[in-house]
Formats: sequence, C-alpha cells, structure tokens
Amino acid sequence: MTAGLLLELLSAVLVVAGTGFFTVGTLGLVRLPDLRTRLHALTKADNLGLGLVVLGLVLQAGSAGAAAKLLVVWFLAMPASAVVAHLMSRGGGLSAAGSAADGPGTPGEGGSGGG
Amino acid sequence: MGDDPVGLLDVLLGLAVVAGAATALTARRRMGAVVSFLVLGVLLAVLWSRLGAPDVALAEAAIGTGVTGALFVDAVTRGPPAARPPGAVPGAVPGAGARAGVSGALAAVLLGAGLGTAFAGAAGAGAAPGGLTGQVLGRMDVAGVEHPVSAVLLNFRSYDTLLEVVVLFVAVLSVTATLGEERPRHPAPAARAATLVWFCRVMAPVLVLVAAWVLFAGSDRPGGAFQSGAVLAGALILMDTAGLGPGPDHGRLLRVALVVGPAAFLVVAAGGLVAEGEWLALDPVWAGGLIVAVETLLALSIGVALTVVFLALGRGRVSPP
Repeated sequence: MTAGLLLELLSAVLVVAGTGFFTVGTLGLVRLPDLRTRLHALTKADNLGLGLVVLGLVLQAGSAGAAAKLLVVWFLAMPASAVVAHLMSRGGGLSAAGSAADGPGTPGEGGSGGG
Repeated sequence: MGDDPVGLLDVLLGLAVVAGAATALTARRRMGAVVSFLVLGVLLAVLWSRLGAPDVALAEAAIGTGVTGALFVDAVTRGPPAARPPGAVPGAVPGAGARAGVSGALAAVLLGAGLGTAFAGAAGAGAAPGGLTGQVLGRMDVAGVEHPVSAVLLNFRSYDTLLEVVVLFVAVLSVTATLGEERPRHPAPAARAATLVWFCRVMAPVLVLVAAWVLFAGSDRPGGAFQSGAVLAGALILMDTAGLGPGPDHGRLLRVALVVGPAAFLVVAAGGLVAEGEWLALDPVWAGGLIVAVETLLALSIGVALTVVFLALGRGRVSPP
C-alpha cells in the first residue's frame, strides 16, 4: 500500500466519520424534546463532525495555504456556533437580561433587544 | 468539475433542491419557510459548484443565503406574529389548489423544455469548449485580470455590471426613501449580552479581512466585488447586532460610501469614452489597475448598500417605546 493510497483512505475515513457525526446531530435535532437538548446535540456533534470533515480534506489539500484556509473555516465556525447556541439558550434575546421564559418570537423582547 | 458526467450525487442534489423549494413554499409556519429557504440556498451553492461555476456559488452563498437570509430571519423574528392560528392551512382560498396545480404544471413543462433544449444543444456541440468560452479565453491577454469570470464581468461585459450596481443603488434609495427618516438608534453595548459584544468585536475585523481577501482573489480565482461586498455587509450587520455599528452620526459617511462605487465606475466608463472613443473601453495597459480600483470601491459600496437595506428594514419595524 503506497503512502498516497493510505492518505486517501485515511481522508475518506475521516470525512465519512464527520458525516456520521453530522447525521447523529441531525437525529438529535429531530428527536430531542426541547430547545436546550437540541442545542446540546447540534453544537457538540456538528462541531466535531465539521472538524473531522475538515481534517479529512486537509489531508487531500494541494498546498499548505489551502490546508490553512480549511482549518480557519473550522476555527471560525466553532466560536460562531458556540455564541449562537449561548444566545439561543438564553431565550433568543440580544439584551444582557435575556430571560429564559421568553421565546425568540416575542415582539416586546425583540423590540427591546434590537432597538 | 463542470465536465464530469452527471452522477448519482448530482441527481440527488437536484431532487433535494426541488424538495427544498417545495418545503419553503408550503411550510405552515413562517420560520419553517425561512429555514427551508436558507437550506435551499446552501443546496443551490453546492449545485453551482458541481456545475463548475464557483463564482456563482460564492455569490449565492454570500448574498442569497447570507444577506437575504438575514433579512428574512430578521423579518420573521421581529415582525408582528402571524394572526392565523398555527393549525389553519395557509392560503385556504377556494380554487387555490387548482391554481397552484396549473401553474406548477406549466412551470414543469417550461423547465423541461428549457432543460431539454440545453441538453440537446450541449450534446450536439460536443466536448470541445465552444461558444463563448473559446472567445473569452482567446481574448484574455488584453483583459487585465487572469480569471475569465472577472474579465467578463469587469471588462468585456462591464456595461451589465454597471447596470446591476445602479439597480442595487436604486433599490437602496427606494428602501430608505419609503421607510422615512432614519430614527435615532441608541447603540448601547452595555445593554447587550457580553458574549455577543465580545464575539462581534473579535469577528468583525476577521470578516473585513476575509472580504478584502475575496476581493483581491477575484483577479485570478473565484471572488470579486459582489462576493466581497456581501461579506463586508455581513461584518457591518454583525457590528450592528452588537450595538457597535453605524449610528446616526455616521450618516454622511454611509452616503459617501454608497455613492463612491457607482461613481468610480461611471468615471472609468466616461474615461473610456474620452480616451478610446467608446463607453467603458479599457486600454489593456491600464485595464488591470483600473479594474482593481473599481472593484475595491464597488465592494465598499455594495457592502454599505446591503447593510443600509438591512438597517432600514429593521428600523422601519421597531415600534417607538
């Protein structure tokens, strides 16, 4: 088995594992009962799935620059999803006093948070 | 990538796009329709990549899914709640089903005829790059940029791009004119969630850097002014979400930024008229530099234009306390 073939095989395994994690995360989104449990499933499974997919693609990247850009995508997606999950779990408002009771659709909450 | 034969993945992708569109149109709740629209945008971007058009895929992802998606989500979460109880079937108008069926069948027939003609034409033309691709690639030496799509957009067919930019400009004018005077907006970072403010402070410069990279990448790979403008709009909207965005005292700066792109394009066009006797003619010696300059100012204007539309639509709905 040449090194090139081994690398391709490893890359394929990583990408498939990543998509497996994504599938599990989506299953959690569909089957879990409420917002917070769904966020839990989505953020953890999807971030790890994205990381595995990116690592698999890095092995196939043509140059160090392309590999670095792929890693930057992962490193940007992680804080973005973490912050969004944090804000959503606080009730969807943008204000510092985001109450847990209100949903994201209440006009009063949205008005005070957005204005 | 566009020369690969149509595989199973492509067929599944096409079916997924149709399914996404159907879900977006028939969803019961508005948020469901908006989310389906976002998913449809992502699927379309992948579809464009499979067709070998990464520039269009970038534009679809940035503008269609990014900015338009942000506008939709903003409208659904901050607009008035739907008056209808969620159990009622939307569009319960007599005859609506028959009308939808007829228009759906007509659309399918037209789409099928169009696709059939395209496939027949492609099969007849053979595998060699014919049509316009050959002509464009043959003239790349006078284009001033190395990427054929940028050359077409900003040199060979720059008139179309100029008109597109003016259309965007007119849209911004109409949105800001009909929604009235800009209401004073009080950016109060202290009142926002600290996590959000920190995140926006860290991410906004990164996004501006990405926008600059996408802009200058357009000269030899997919990128360009529209995509860069969309990313810049994302950065400005993010800053506005944190309360750090353009405020009422930045009005003049915003107006200048809006105008400078189309104005520069018009100056270059008129300069072509003066120097070469033809509107928008670009001297091959100057073409590269002029294209970069016009694209930079265009990216700035497009970014500010999309942000202003987002801000104006948001302000228009915020009810006074």
